Amino acid sequence: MRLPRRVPWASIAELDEVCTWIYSDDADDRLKRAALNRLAAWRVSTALPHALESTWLILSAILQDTEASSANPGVSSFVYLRQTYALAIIRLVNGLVDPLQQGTYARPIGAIAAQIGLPAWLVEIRHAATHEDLPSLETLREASSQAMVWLLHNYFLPTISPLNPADVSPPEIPPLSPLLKEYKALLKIATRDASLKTRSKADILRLHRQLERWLGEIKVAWGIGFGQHGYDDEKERWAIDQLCFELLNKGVLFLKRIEGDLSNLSIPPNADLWEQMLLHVQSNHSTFGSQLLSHVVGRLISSDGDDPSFDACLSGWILWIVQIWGESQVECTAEETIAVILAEVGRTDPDHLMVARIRPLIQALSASDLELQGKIESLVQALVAPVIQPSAEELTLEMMEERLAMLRSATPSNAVMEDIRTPVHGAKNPASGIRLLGEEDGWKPCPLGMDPRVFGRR
Amino acid sequence: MLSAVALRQRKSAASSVAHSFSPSRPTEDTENSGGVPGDFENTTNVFSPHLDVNVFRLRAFEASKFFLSTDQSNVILVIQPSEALPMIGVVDITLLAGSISVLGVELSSTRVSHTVFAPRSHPTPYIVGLMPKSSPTVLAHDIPQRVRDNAPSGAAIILLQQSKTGVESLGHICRAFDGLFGDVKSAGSWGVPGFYAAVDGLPPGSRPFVLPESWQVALDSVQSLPSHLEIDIPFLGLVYGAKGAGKSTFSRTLLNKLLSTHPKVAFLECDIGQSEFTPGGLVSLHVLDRPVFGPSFTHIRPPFRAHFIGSPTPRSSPSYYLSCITALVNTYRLEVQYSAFAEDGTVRSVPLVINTQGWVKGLGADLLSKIEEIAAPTHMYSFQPPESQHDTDPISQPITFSIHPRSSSTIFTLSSIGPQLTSIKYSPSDLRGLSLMSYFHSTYTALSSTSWSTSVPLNARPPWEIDCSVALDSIILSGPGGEDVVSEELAPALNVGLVGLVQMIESVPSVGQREPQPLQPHSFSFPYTQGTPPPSPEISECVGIGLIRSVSETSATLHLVTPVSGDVLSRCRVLVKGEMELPIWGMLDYWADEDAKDLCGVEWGKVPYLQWGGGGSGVGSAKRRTRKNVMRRGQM
Repeated sequence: MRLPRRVPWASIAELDEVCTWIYSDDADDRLKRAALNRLAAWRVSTALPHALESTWLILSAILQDTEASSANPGVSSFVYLRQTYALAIIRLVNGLVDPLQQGTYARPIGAIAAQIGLPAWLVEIRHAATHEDLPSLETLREASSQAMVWLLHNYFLPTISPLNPADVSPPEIPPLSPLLKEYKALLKIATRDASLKTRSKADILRLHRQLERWLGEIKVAWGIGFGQHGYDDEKERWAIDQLCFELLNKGVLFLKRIEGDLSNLSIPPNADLWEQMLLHVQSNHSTFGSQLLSHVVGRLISSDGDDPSFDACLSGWILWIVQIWGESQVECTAEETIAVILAEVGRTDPDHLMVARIRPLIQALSASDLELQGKIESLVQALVAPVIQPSAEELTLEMMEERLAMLRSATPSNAVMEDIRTPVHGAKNPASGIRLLGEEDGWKPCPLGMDPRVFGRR
Repeated sequence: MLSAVALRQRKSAASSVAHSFSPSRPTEDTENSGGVPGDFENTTNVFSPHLDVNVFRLRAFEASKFFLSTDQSNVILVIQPSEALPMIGVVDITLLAGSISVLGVELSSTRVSHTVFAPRSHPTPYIVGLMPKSSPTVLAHDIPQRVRDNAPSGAAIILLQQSKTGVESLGHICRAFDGLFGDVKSAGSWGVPGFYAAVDGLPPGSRPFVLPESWQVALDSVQSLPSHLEIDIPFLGLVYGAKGAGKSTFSRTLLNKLLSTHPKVAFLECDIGQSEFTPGGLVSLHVLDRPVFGPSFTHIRPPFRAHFIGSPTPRSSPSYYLSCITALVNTYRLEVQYSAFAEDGTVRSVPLVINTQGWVKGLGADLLSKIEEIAAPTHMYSFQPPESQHDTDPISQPITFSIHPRSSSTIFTLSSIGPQLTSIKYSPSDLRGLSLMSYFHSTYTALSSTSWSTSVPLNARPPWEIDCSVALDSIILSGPGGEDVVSEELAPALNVGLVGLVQMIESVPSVGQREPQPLQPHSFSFPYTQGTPPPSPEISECVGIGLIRSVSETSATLHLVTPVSGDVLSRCRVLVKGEMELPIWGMLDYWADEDAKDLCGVEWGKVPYLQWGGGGSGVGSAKRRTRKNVMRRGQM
């Protein structure tokens, strides 16, 4: 379920105001200081978006600098100022890069910075300030002012006036097929010749790592294409989808020629070639199995059936997925898979022409469960030779009554409800200065953070 | 061909033959769940229900003997020793005869009804029939004749009743936990709504509640404490170990176990991330006289005494955290330790169970050993890190906390239960959110049972209006960065914030160094002084948490929502805001249509503090997040 995000500002106009204060050219820094105070208050109310928190830290360093420089020489400690600047920049760079480390293995910070357009110079200062000599005050001042400009263009402006989604170009996806080819070649040798197994182990691991890196890269690409506001699971799902597309290309999971047809279903002969990689991906990405399953099912249902070996291979992979992940993943059980297949058929094929073709697969899936098989078989029979359906009215009425009964049993007793709605334990005005509001005071339900009597409704 | 497909063998419908009970069956693929005692596995069978043989639906005249209402269904079960009934849902269990154990705790025939909460998110409890200790007595006459006739000698007879707590509806609010208590396919409810007997196998993903053998040993040892521990030095057990080891499950079981031999048991919660009886952010002392059956969010209740830390970890206020624990230990020593009476009127000591936080490295280890020093426990329960952890996490050093146990304390080493479904499926922040929402929607009374109402979301709950200049002495921002908030900016810092409701125990008129200020217009009428530290736990206590649902700067008033009663609230003249945040769930109207265009009549674009994803493309607009599992080149 999608949820909105908590943001520190009540409306985007408040962020706009703070932005104007920060980037104002006032001589006495009064507005900058107001922005600093507002950001400090926001920071207490909720975790700030990273860019905003960095802005706060850099702004505070800049204001300290102005103060120190205008004080009598000899009074201020400038190394303290250098530390303040340096820490603000370290935190800016780390905080921007860390969420984009999305693979299992670390990518170079420089590469990520380049992808999001962060000046490489800031990355160097981060490195120097962390591991080498503390950079000079002049360097840090310059870096901070560049960082503030970068934040204005890359955070404030896009956040305050978001781009029209239509203007967003789809993210660029780096190619995966060379990696898959190399993997296939390597595994072909390794599976044929057992003596090479240990030798190829390191290579396989390397390719697994590369695959993870590829996934990390395209997650970042997603962020650039569709905006950083995306939900994490959405990003992950999208990345895995891209991987599934690549895997379903011919020559990867599909053999060009396959012995057998739909009447003789079995695990695809190239399963041991890819098994290791698929298991590896699953171990790092828990939704992979179910996503791959729905891709394969989708492909099978939409296939025109001209190439029986293609269908047989797809069905074989469905069996493989259910066999491998059916126990550990609820979405991949035989029952669930059959449900998905039938739903897909129902959606795309109103005449159920597909049913006959996928029947062997369904039988294979339900083979080990007689009860399930019986249920499914009667359902499939009904689909193939439609019988008179029970009247729709009857069905819904029955369902509605069932739901009503469920609702009734779930709602707590009235007594409890009353108890909470009007806290009756004690007076409505237990002490001076405290009173319980009600409708008679003009109070109405409204979103948290609002007083209905001030904002009014609608 | 077809046989090549090794599909999961779904268990066939209930056969009349009781199949061997194997707690590890549903999770064969996972690692050892922590030493399943072998004889339990071999000697226990899953309860096999047969209507009017061991399952009886009470008729109206039979129910009236128990003073039960006749408009709901009540069921009596006859469970023989070594039979076990796995259950999901919520039910009130009353033991009528014999002996059973639930969640590792033995119940003797006391005719007290216990509510058992068995959500699907947590290990499934079994109601296990036990051999009665004393020779079977004549069955009471209120037990229906047909039950008495059918019950074999030595069998336990229990009454199941529908439990009307409303806890199921918490899943509506916290969507991550939807369907938590029900919707179990292929589970019989035998006519008791909300109760599911999973006799045909646990639902997928569930695992059984099993006490590892090392736990059993440790728990059995408190059954008969040496007499000097009863009088001079009461039992004081300290439980510590890493996150996810099973500390809170063990502490709860230890508490329940002690309650079978003591009229009252005290519980000191030092884990402020996921607390047992309160929402997080509090260290709290509780005194209980009945066991609790269920995960922590099902028994939210007001503490005997508590102090507000305001953060899920003691990291940013370690010394304040310790001073709060010191204060609670002192409270225990002065007010609780000898406050119980046995049935014959003699003073009985009140044992204390201390649960600690799971932060066992670095500063966390220091804190642990300080807690140990403060509490001077007689018994220590130490968790071993799960072995699998070493395999998966090459970077982590061996656990380095070094408690130097006092020579006088008995030490038990417990095996960790390893990662649980709860910790895989739900993040700690999900669980913290659930416990907060459970708190806000609970009746929050110290009376025996808690109930919940979710019919009104938080944004529709009439708030208390607090005139800060009259009703409050001080508003304190205790979280990191709080000292940077100037008084002009107090309102944005407080709005939609969670605050601890703090009552000063001694009347200290100048709390927060509040001098009568020259009256200035505008926001200075908030009793706020920048940089004020939180009140000393010696002279204050936290009675609960409130949500500031709106702030008015011009009139210096707050609107506050809390389950705490008005009388108690009016005694709280100090509000402390820490780092805790209300989960997003709490800001929404969960009864509204999922794609509703508005929230309480305010269109989404104008709802304050909430924004739907995809609204902008600024870089760095996510909250900072760190990952500790990024591997470097060369690591495998």
